[in-house]
This record gives sequence, C-alpha cells and structure tokens, in this order.
Amino acid sequence: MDSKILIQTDHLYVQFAIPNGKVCAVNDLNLSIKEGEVLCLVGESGCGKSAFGNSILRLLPDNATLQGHIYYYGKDIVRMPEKEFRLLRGKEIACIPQSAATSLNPLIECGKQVDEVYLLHKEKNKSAARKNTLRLFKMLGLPRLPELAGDYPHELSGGMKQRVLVAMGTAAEPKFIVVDEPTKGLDWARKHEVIERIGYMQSMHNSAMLLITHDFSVAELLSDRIAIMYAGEVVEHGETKQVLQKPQHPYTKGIISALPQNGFKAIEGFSPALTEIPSGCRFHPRCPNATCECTVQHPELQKINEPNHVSRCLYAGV
Amino acid sequence: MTVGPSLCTHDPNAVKYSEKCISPCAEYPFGTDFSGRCVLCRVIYGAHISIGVALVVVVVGAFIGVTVGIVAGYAGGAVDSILMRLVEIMLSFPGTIFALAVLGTLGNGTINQIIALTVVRWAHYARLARGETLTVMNSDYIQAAQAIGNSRLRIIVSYIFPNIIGQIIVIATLSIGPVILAGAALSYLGLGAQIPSPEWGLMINGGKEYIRQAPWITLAPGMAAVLTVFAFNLLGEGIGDMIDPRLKEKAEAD
Amino acid sequence: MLKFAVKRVVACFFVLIAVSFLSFIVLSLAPGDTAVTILTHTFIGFDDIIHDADVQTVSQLYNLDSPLILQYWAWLKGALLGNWGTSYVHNVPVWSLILSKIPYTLFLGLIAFFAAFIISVPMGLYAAAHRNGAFDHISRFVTIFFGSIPNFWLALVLIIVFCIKLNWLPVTGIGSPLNFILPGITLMVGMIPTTFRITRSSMSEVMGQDYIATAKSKGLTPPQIVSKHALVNVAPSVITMAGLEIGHILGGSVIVETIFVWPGIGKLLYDSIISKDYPMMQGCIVTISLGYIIAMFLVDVITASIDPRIRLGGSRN
Repeated sequence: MDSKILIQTDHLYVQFAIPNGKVCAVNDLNLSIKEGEVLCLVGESGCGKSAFGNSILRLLPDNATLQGHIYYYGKDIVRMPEKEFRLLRGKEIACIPQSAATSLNPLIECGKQVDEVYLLHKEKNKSAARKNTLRLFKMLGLPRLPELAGDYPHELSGGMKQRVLVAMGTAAEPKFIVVDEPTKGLDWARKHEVIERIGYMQSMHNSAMLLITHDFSVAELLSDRIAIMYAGEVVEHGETKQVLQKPQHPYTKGIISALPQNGFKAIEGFSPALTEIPSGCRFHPRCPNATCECTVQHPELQKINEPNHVSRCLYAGV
Repeated sequence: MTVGPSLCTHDPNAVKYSEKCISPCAEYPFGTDFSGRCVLCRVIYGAHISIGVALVVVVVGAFIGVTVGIVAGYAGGAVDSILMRLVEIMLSFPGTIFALAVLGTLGNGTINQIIALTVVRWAHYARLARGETLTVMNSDYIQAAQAIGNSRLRIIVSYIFPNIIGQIIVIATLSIGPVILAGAALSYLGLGAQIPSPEWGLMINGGKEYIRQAPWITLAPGMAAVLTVFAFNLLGEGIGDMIDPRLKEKAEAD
Repeated sequence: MLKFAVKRVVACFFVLIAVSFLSFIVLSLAPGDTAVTILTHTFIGFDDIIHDADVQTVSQLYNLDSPLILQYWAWLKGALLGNWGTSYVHNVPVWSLILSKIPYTLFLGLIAFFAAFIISVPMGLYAAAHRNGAFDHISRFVTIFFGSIPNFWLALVLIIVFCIKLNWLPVTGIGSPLNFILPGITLMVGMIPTTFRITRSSMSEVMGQDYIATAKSKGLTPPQIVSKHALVNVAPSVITMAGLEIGHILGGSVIVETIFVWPGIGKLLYDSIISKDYPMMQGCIVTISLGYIIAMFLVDVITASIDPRIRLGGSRN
C-alpha cells in the first residue's frame, strides 16, 4: 500500500432522465484507483462504462443526475462547485476522448489544440508550449514533424488523430486520465501502435488511468486491474492477470470464451436494455448456471479466495 | 377561406362616395376607404387573393423545382452541370429584382404576378431537391434497389421521392409567408394586381395618400398581412420542429 | 488561397455575363415596339403622331432590327468597354447615372447591414447558449413576428408614427442628416429574423459537437470555450447567410428607396421600369446583380480562409 488512493467512488449512481422516467446507467459503483495504477473497465456498449468515465470528468449531459460520491484525494468532486472543479480539469484530471474524428476542432490546427492545454495549465509561453507539443508528437511516433503540427484534423488519418488526442490528454502531465475507447475503429496495426504509445506515456508520467474499452487485448497489455461491467453494475473485479486467467463470474467466463482465439463461443441472448432490468441477478436470463434463487436475489460483490478479486455471483468461488 | 365571406356584410367593391373615409365604427369595423368601400371586407377578400396566389406559386414552383432537382441529382454528369448552372444563375439575381424585370416586361396583372413569383422561387426548391437526392443516392438501399433491377423511373418515384418529400413540405410551408410578402410588395409597386382588386399590397398603396386623414386604410391590410404571414411562419416552424429541427437551417439559407 | 480566389473571380465573371444575358432576353420580351417607345420618350411627346419613317430611322439608329443575339452581343461588347448604352428617358449614358447613385445605396445598405448584424448575432448566440429559456422563446417569437412584416408597410407605419404623429424625423429625400434613419431601420428589420435564426441554430449545433466537450475537458472556462472553439465554427454559416441577406437588402432597397425618395440604385431601377427605359433597366439589374455576386464572392473567400477543408479540399494522407 505504498501509493495513495487517487480516485474512490462510494455508492455512485448515475441516472438519466428520459421522456418516460429515469434510466439508471451506473448502479452502486464502488471502485478505487491508486496513484500510477491503470484500471481497465470492460463491458459491452450501453453497460454504463462511458457514463462512469464522464461522471468523473463532470462532462455528463444536462439530463443526468449523480448520487453518491467520487473522491479525488479525499475531496468529493461530485459536490464541488464548478469553478473549483474546473481548476482540476485538464490539469490533474484529464481525458483522452473516443471518436477522434469528431473530438478535434476541425477549424483549428492540431498543434494549437495541444498547445492550448500547456498554455492553460503550465505556463503562458507559446514557444515552450509548442516545444512540448512537438516532443509529445515525437514520442507518439507522429511523422513529418514539425509540419504536422500545422495540419488540420481532416488532413490526418484516424490513427494520427487518436495520437493527437493522446498528446492533448497528457500535455499537462495530469495525475489521472480517463481513456475512453482508444482503439475504437482502428485496424489491428494502428491499435497496437496506439496502445504501445499510451503505455509508454503512462509509464513516463506515472499517471493513473481509467481505461474504458471493450477490447480485452488492450486490457491485457496496459492494465493492472480490471473491472467487468454488465447492465450498469460491476460484476467482477480484480488483478488483470488473475481475472483473465481464472474468471469467476459466468459473464466474464462467457465473454472470454467468445474471443476469437478461444473459439468465438457467443453468450446466448442479448444484454438487457437499461429500462428493462431483470429481477434478482441481472445476468440470470443468460447464465448457464442460473438457479431459482438467482431470479429473486440480487447478489452483492463476493470476495473470492485471492486478495481483491470479487465477483457478483451467489455461487462465486464455488 | 369559407368563413371570410360570411363575415362581410358589405360588397368589397361597392363604391359609395358619400361614405368615404369614415373612421372605424360599429358598422365599418375597419372604416371605409377613399371610395367608400368597407375596408374590413376588402381585407378579407384580399386574403383570398394573397393566400391563393402564394399557394399557387409555392405548389407550382415546388413542382418545377423538385422535378428539376431530382432529374439533376439522379442523372448527374452534364445534365446536372447544366441544370445547376441555370439554378445558380437564377439565384444570383436578388429575387425582387428578377420579379420586377419579369413584370416589367410581361406587364401587370395577377397572372403575371404569379408567373414572376414562380420563376423566382423554383430555383430554391431545385437546389434543395438536388441536394437531398444526392444524399439519398449515396445511401446503400438505392444501390440495392438498382441491383435488384428497378427501372429508373421506379427508383425515383418509389425511393427518392418519398424520402425527400418531408423536407420539401417543410420548406414549402416556410416559404408561403415570404411569397405572400413578395406578392404584396409587387402589388404595392403597382406591378401585380391592379385596381380595383382588394389585394393587400395594392390597398396599402392606395391608402398612401390618405395617411394623415385616414390611416386605417393603410394600417388594416398591413396588419392582416402581418398576422397571416406570422401564422404561416409559426405553422412552418412547428412542422419543421416536428419533422426535423435541422431542416430549417437549410431553408433559411435560401 | 490565391488560386482559390482567382478561380472564384473567373466563375463570378461568367455568372455576371450569364445574368446580363438573361436580363437582356427577359427585357426584350416586352410587348410593344421598342422603337416606338424610344420615339415617344426621346424625340417626340406621347401625344404626337408616330410616322413610319421615324420608326425606321430610330430602328436603324439603335440597331433594333438585327437578331436578338447580335443586339446582346453589341451591348456586351459595349458594356465590357464601359458603354452601357444611353438612357431613353434621361438621354445620358447609363453608367454615369448609375455610378452617381451607387454611393447612396451603398451607404444605406451598409448601415442597415451592420446594425442588423450587431443586434441579431449576439442575440442568436445568447439564445443558443440558453436554449429553451425565457430569452430564447421570447426572441424567437419576436423575430418571427418581425419577419412577417412587409417592409413597405413598415416604412409607412414608421412614417405615420415618427413623421406625422410625432414629427421627429423627416420623411423623404436626403436633405438632413436624419434622413437615413427610417429607411435604415426598415431595411435593418428585414434582415434581423434570418440572421438571428441562423446564428442560433448554428451555435446550437456547434455546442453539441464532441470537440466542444473536448474543450471543456481541457479545463477551459465557458467564455473561453465559446470564443476559442465555438465561434470559429459558427462563423462560416453566419457569414454565408450574411451574403445572402445582402441580396435581400439589395432587393428591398428598391421599395425602401422609392418610398423614402432616397436617390439610390433601387429607386433608379423602379423609375426606369415605370418609364420603360430599357437600357437603364438592364444597367440597374446588372449592377445590382454585380453587387450581389461580389458579396457572395467575399463570402466564399472569407469562409475559405476560415475553413481549411474548403480551400484545401481533403486530406493529404
């Protein structure tokens, strides 16, 4: 327990108001991330992982409500006034957004968009900012420097744009970065490149990361710990190596066997819509081992024998 | 439209010099004009003309414009280039100016006014229809339809047209208001409807000389025009919000 | 950038030629013998008898018997060299009269344009930032109402209120410095609704984009987000619309200048229509279209300088 706890959530609920009521995207989340640690959040589209990522940055849309607490070095950032939190954004808590194509301002040169972060949080020196930007670009393997910094986003390929976003997120050397689907839409070669670079940056600056993805290979390469989300809840959580080698929750087992290298064995059924959550265990309709109890009792996270490895199943560890 | 005439107790064209320029009162809610005619009745009959003209212009203009637009978008190539050059040139004339030119040569009258306004309007619909056609053409289901072997006419009628009709309706509704105003402007200048038509623009023109002693002659038809156009504009905005909020941006750009 | 501008200039030139041709054709369709018109305006009075010999002479003088295309060609050749014909009514070169009137229209138009811009763009930005709030609903309502008012009627109402009832402002002509106020207001009101709406919807759309969320995640304050990231993306739509609105102002100037007896191109065009002065009509129409074409050219150049995708046209990778 050398490093301090950076982020800790306490009974976090994220709800969205919809025309016919409310949808609970994140249900009673309790996670913690230490300094320098990389936690990977894995799940299907719509399981609530992006909602959680956005809630840490307070970038949720207007119809969202947060209940519970998110502590940053012990300070509750959910209740913090906007003015105070804004001082943390970009400087200590940053993000590398997904969808590189639309996350960059199309009318501003790439270099300037990265310079901006430095100028805002480090020092108001344009040449120092540009130096930093070029240094980051070089580390990320971007070609044609320094001309590339003067290019506009539409002139760059998808992989290059993604790397510009990585540079943007790390320019102020933040303590904590939310990395949202860094490899979405990239082909295998680009994926590998981007992952490598992110890993490199992470170890250089020793930033803690919340790595949100649906891709296990990313989790394997970069993260220390992993949390699997299903229908708004964490269903399994522990050290990455352990969870991937010895998954305990039926859902985790299911998605691991669904991987190409394990035979593409898909799980039956579909994830529930957040407006129609099953009673009891949320996974029971699709679970091969479901019993009657599973349909009525909602399981809590149970500790398995190994330290810090938990699973939300009535029969965990059995 | 059918309510109007029943509200009129007077003949809008009956000239009674003995009753000229009476202020608004019980018998003549909007007063009388310089020829003794009831202003309210004339305003109501004027509504028929103004709205009627506008509807004809919009429907005919949309028909021509959409046809040209779909043909240009679907055919592509040289046909598209030529048609779009024509559309661009039409749009390079500020609308009022071209209408004036057309009326300057054709002469006056309501029919010519309709022609002038239609000639000015069709290009707007053509450009929109072509843009939408191109968008639809790029979608996969059109390629699928072609792959199955549908004839060109069938594709246009069954696939393209239904997908763009919604937008066309919104744009058309939004243009009724401006066309009413344009028609009134032309009549005001003496280039559209002619005396003794109770067209609003013409009435406003007629009331010009009597501004001091009988301002209601000018004010009543104007207010009627404002309220009518306002109603159509709100209707257009409402329909637009229902179908797609982004359409109005394109409409306004025209 | 220069290449782009040059290409646009060439395109504009051709459009102008086409416009002048179209206008010429339309005007030539006028009923009635042109020679007779010229005779009655220039040489003799309206009541005098028209002799065939005179008609012949005039026809030959003005080349009215040759085919339309050749007549247009003659006009075009002359026009490119600066000779736009002679006014039937005033008997002076068309271009000289037009040139003397342009400054008045320009003055009025520019004042109305900038006034409308200064009022409606901030309104639109504010309404978009506070969407569905009280200001948003009220301003939308008010601007739609303003957009429903016929400009000539508004002019008359302003005259009734400010000149007749209150006696604050002069009505017509250019006698005093206050004369531009009412015509300016009339033109300005015509521009406000569309400018407001486009600004508002463009701003709303921009604020919903991902890159605005990125800007927020960097820690920028709301004013910084708007000024550094949002405005630059709103600018192209607003500028394009401004160019189109100039077209409306030019068209509206015909009516407004006529009502207020403001000696600009618009009034000149109207007068020439009434008096069937065809060379002047052609000259005015081409001039006004030229103004519109120039405005659209400036719009193209400015938006291209803001949006690199327009001038560079695609990725290098």
